[in-house]
Amino acid sequence: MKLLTHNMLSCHIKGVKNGYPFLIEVIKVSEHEADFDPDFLKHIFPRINWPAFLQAAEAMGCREGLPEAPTETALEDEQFQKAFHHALLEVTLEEGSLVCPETSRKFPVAKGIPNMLLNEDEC
Amino acid sequence: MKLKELHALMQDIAPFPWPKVDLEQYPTGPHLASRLLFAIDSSYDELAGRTVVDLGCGTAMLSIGAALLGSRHVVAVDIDPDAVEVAADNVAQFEDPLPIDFILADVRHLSHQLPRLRADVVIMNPPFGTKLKGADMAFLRAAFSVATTSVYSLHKSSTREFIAKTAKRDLGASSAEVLAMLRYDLPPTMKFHRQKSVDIEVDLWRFQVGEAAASRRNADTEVYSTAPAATPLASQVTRGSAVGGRHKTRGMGGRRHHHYDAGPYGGRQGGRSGREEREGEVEGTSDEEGEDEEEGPREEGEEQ
Repeated sequence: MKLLTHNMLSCHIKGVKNGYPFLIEVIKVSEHEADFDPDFLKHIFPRINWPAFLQAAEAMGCREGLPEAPTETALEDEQFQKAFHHALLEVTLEEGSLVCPETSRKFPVAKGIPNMLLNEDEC
Repeated sequence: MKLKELHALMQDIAPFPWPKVDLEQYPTGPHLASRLLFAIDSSYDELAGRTVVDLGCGTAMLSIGAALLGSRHVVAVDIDPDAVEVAADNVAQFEDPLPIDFILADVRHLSHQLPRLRADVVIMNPPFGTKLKGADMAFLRAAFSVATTSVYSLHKSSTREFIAKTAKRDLGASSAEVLAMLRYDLPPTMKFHRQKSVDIEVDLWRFQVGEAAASRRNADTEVYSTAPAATPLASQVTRGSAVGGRHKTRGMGGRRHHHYDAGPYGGRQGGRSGREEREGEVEGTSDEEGEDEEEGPREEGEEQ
């Protein structure tokens, strides 16, 4: 699970109001190269919840080079682009869990795959 | 990338070793998948540089194809851990890592369980609703809760009118177009098959997500999307031609039939069941809509 995916996941167990963003419990992280595409970064940037992204990057050890509040001009800066690209697309949570910020319910991540299936009583 | 190249790269994608009938796990063969994706890419240019969600990804045939055609991030969703395990193995076969993330989730409840999941394009080969009643429509609803630009999906031809009406009236589609008709030749090893094989006529749809729907969803998640509602670039080109992109048509306007020989997916060593997986026949389609049906989707009656 990469951070772009994490940015879009939330907990909707019955009754939960603040299930976003998931906290990340890291057991194993892997890194791999992804094609660097600045146009794509500009395309996706408006859809990113930045505070959630920063918090997750911190947990995954790739927070470096990511500003607190990037402006539109930051997107033109190659250094920012590289840091953003790396954290967004090149770092994968292989083993660990996503933890609901409200209920602390853990959604396991195994072999990079989060299991978001809810139990019957949670629907 | 040429179609032949794409097809070759997808040849080794393993099918379900033990397909679950109750989940309607029918494989999307590499032949069908490569042509479908190539058409999306060449006619609409909606894969390269974009994000994709594959709902009911099964063995990830469509996700892999999308990634090979340049999608920058693909999220593949399925309910079955066994399928996803095969899918993950399929993805691992490729030397250069493919930008595909898997999620185990129930697509039928996606819009309220994962409401922030978004992608430019949703591609899917959903259950047809023969075993899981209403699954086809539940998947379509989920697709529209995710896609910001367009949805590509396969549905039984018998539901054509109902799908077009529902998509436009209820789901926020600004257009709904059948790009091609296919004949799905279901594998004869399915438990309920008494005869040699079962045929289902299937439509390949393209839905354009309307502006209103797209902006309503953005408001829900307080994230502003800059993705504009693109007009289909080459919808005129795709009419009358089957899935297969720029292939020449012999005789305009008519239907052309391709019979693809049954054959196993090539190349993989070991662990193969040796079953023949048949793939769909592809027919060209006109843009005719078919008769108006008063009732909802009619079942083909092919299941027990």
